[in-house]
Amino acid sequence: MRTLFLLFISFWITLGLMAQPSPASDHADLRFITEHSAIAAGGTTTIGLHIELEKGWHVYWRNPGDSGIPVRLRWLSEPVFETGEIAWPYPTTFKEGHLVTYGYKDETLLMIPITIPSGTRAGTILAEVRIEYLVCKEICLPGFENHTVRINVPRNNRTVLSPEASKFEAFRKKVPTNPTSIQSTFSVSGNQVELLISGDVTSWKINDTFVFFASEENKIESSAPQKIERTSNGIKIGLTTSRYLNETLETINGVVVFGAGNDKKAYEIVSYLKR
Amino acid sequence: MKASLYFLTGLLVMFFAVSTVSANDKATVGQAAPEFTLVDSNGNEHSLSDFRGQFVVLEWLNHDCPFVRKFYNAGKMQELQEYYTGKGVVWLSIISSREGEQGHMTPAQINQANADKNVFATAVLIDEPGTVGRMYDARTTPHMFVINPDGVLLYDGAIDNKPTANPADIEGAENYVVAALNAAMNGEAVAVSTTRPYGCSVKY
Repeated sequence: MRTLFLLFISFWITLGLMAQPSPASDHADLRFITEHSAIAAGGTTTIGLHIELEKGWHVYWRNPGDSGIPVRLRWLSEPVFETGEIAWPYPTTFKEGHLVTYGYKDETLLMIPITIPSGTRAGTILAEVRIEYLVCKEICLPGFENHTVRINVPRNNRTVLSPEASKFEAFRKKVPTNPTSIQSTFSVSGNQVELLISGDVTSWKINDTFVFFASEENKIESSAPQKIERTSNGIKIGLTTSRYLNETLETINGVVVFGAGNDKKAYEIVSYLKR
Repeated sequence: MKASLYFLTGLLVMFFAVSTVSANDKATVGQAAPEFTLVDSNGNEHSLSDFRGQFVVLEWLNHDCPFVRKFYNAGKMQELQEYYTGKGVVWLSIISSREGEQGHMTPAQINQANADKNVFATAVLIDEPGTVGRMYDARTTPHMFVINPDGVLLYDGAIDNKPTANPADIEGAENYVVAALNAAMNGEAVAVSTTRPYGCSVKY
């Protein structure tokens, strides 16, 4: 009887631990939403990890900057659908003591395109995903949660927008576009990088909202000042190499953001070492 | 003439004095590690130069940081401290948290934590104004440095290559401090000498 009782207690504790949210979960609300409430087999849609943050707290972009950890997703088993690359909305800058980091406050949506294989039978597809993240406000708390993504493949094979579709529309506007009308090269001298963006950049506004976010870790120092100027060839951005750079820079990938409010623009930059 | 010679000599001396200081006031791998003197939780003074002839590990510490807890709660940091101090390595944990900030501790609290957590560090140093932290550009807790017996900085960066707060990631990670110490103690070159540290920002 006593053994049974202990067994019951330990089972109860185990369940309790499993259900216990991670330390970060008090400050960040994570959930998966889908752009379509029904998606036909063979069709393509987007799923999104919606993150809502308590005021003052933030999570990190794909390059977190001087410290921090990006939001990471890992499928716990191979999902039935094919997944594409995460589309990250452009980040904002946070000053954390002497460090500068990149991330999101208030609310964000990390979007993942998915394709339902043709021939998939009608019903609900379930996919388990593990999310690891870090939420910070002066102090940082680690987050780890398992979520289930549910995709409804309808019997009538019709595709229906979900009530959350407007969120995708809103956050898609914040995903940097990749203009084909611009080119970029850079040169390095000591720890100074001069990155030139040429081509159709006449409409780009250079003011104090102009920021270059390096999208890879350990290449560019995020806490170093950036010198932005317009030249006859385009726009020149003065950057500093990361203290943790441990390779010869051949390419620099990043995002340029400028403007304010609804006029905010974000462009993907792929820059090559000038030969 | 003589006066100007004195003046020139003076300038030269000044120049060398200044350049020596500037070579040492920033931590750069392959160069002399910046000299410092700090007081530990027992009130004893320690200078880096006291430990010439021994390998020295510097570990930036904040016991309230989840990334530090990842290693201490698993007993891993203590295991490294015990193993390497047993081999003659000096292990200095440094707290740079300002008063009122996360991770700040009084000497008594540090000694209590040392006892509770079974810490094997040679000393836990208090860097109250953050001078030494800034000199080393210590960014996160943990942030690890390895210095050779000649006082040359061999490693600056993360503790390992799995930047998470999850203790389950300790096993299977490549520990850069272990790699640097083992290589250097064997007379080999340190393969990975600089990495981006991960953890909580140091609360200067």
